[in-house]
Amino acid sequence: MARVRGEEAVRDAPHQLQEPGGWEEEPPVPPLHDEGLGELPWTYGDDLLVALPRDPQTLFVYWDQARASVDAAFVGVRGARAQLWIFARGAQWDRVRVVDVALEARGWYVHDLEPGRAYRAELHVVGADGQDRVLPGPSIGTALPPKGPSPIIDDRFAALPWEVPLPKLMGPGVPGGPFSEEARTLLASLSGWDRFGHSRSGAAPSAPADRPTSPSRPFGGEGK
Amino acid sequence: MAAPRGYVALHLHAHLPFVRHPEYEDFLEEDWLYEAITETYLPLLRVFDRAADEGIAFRISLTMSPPLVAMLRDDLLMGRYARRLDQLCELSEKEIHRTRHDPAFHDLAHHYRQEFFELRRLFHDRYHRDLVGAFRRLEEAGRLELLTCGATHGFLPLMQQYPEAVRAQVAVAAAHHRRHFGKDPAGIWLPECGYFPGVEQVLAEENIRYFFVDTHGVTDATPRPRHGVYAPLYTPAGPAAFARDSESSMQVWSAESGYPGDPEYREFYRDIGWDLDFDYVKPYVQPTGARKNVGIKYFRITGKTPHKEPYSPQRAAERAASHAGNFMYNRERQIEHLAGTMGGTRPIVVSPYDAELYGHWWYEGPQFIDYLIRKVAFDQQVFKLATPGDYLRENPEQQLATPPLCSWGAGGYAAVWLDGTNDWIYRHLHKAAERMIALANEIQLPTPLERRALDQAARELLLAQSSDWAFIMKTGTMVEYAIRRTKEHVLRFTRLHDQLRAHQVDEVWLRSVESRDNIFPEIDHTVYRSR
Repeated sequence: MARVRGEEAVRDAPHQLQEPGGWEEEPPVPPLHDEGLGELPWTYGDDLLVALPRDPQTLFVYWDQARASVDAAFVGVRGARAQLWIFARGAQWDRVRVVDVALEARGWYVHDLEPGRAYRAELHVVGADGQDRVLPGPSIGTALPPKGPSPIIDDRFAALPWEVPLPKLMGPGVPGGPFSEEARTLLASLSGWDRFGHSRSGAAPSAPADRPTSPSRPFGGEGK
Repeated sequence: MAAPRGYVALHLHAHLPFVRHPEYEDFLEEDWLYEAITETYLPLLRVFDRAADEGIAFRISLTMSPPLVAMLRDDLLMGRYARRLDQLCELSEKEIHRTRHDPAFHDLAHHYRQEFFELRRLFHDRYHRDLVGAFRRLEEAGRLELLTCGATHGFLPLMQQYPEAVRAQVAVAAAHHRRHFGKDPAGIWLPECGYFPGVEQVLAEENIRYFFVDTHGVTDATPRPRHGVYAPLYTPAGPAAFARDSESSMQVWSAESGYPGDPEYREFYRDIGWDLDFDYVKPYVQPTGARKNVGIKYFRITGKTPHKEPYSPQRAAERAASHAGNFMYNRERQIEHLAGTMGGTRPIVVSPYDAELYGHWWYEGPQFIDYLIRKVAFDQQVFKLATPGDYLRENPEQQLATPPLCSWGAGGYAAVWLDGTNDWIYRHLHKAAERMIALANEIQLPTPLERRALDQAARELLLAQSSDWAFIMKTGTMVEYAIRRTKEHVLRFTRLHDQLRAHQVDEVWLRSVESRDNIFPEIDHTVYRSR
């Protein structure tokens, strides 16, 4: 937010600024006009697990499990404890992390992951004897951003005339966008951007494509 | 001017969260808008219009975020601002009397009186209370290139699991921009420069040609960019990514070497709302009796100690001119160097800043811009001041690549908006998004009342998604207000959702909510339908 960021900048100015007493105090917020809105719910009971990218090495996972699902998972499991399993996409989904969690925490930051890979999460109930039950609602794949310059060097250029509206270039006559299909496919496979368009709201889970180390063929079309 | 060897793009991002409380006569957080108008928007308009009137060639791009536009076009808020300006004029006259025997501050009191009366004249007589129209005219006159932003500044990377919600943030913003500025937005300031691969598809659908990313958004793109941050990249769907140049940014933002920390510049934190006798300033601070900034400040930064010397507008103006010259000189050398290394490609140096830095935080910032555009026009021939749109028009061939998920927040990714202080909001925002999408998909033929409820539900969801709330929770000031706003909008959304599901929309309550959260009167909830 502009205003507060500016405040930070000024506070960090090389010449420390005087702040009169009371500046840091939170001013009182006028009382709420009561609309009877109540409070936010503690749970939506959805059997949901969501993984969000925080930075190249950190995934934030939150969950919202129905009470019945949790109870059912724990029934009959001796010495049961909850675990968060993290899978990374390679040739297949490989388990890369297991963390004991308290379900009541409802969220967890998973640190020190490998940048630039796609991850998904599952909640498990594991018994002392190794018995394992997965809780419903595993997360869909979420990619962490790569960190540092790309190892892929492949200079391809294209011209986009300013006068031509982009939607026109995305129309039925030019499926997929302004660049050649070959170029788009390669860019998509390099970056994983084809994930977009798959919604939690209904579409099937999907995962980004693998990242090749180099393109095998040059772009076609407008490239020079 | 001979053919320039490169370009400098100065971009100002003007945004404030939507804060409008008709239910209160006086509301502290509305001051964000009033202070920004007095200290940033009116002074910038004065700089731009004066230069345009004098025929000085300059080009600057400027975000006008939808919430800011909505507030600047709101009669209630503009009426309140007019009263605030009257109060400032009144106080500045009292200050002339109070300082009549104080030679150190009397001239400064005259400075403030002249300034506030001038701003009041501009607000009423030149701009007729319509600052949006004033910015629009500057774009039509070829001086500004106006950009949009997310509809409510929602941080898109943490919304990507709901593409319909991302699309709504962009599509509603683009429609709002067309409504107020009469054309497609040439570009967009992705809220917090928050990019994730794939979002360009939505931008392209709205004919948005470019956006900004922080430096690593381009340096870490795939494939590796040939020209680093000094040329844009075309993303797969066509919109170009322009990266912030860290060198020019540091000259303004840096805590160690940034211009705004110069000892001659005005000290932000010494305001008479805090410094003077309470009974004297009481009519101008909060009705609760709590003090606040009133906008009259008599000291300069001076040094690192609490001791402050009187402020001199003349000396500060000289320093602003000097800094503008320094900024230009550094860009000349930078462009000359880059042009020699880019094999015929003309470099562009992109320098984006929060608009509110200029004037509100850095009082002399508008003067700096004034001096800069004049110096660039008359004192050098190495580069031209251009917008990203200008650059793409003149240089349509660019490299194809995809930036990584990134932002311009601390750390460069999503950590500012996703940490222990604010991560609790996402389960509620995501649930509301899921419900909104379901409502839009399933209620295909709503009654007129249901349509109003659906549209209002869309407004409440958008308002809840503002990244400003999570940012405030993280930074730790005004947290109570940010939490309250997040909860209120989610809860209003939820009530609307439940009423729609039960086919029992409370029309009286709906009308009151429509009246209060009145952003985007043109909204169409079907923007949330899945494709």
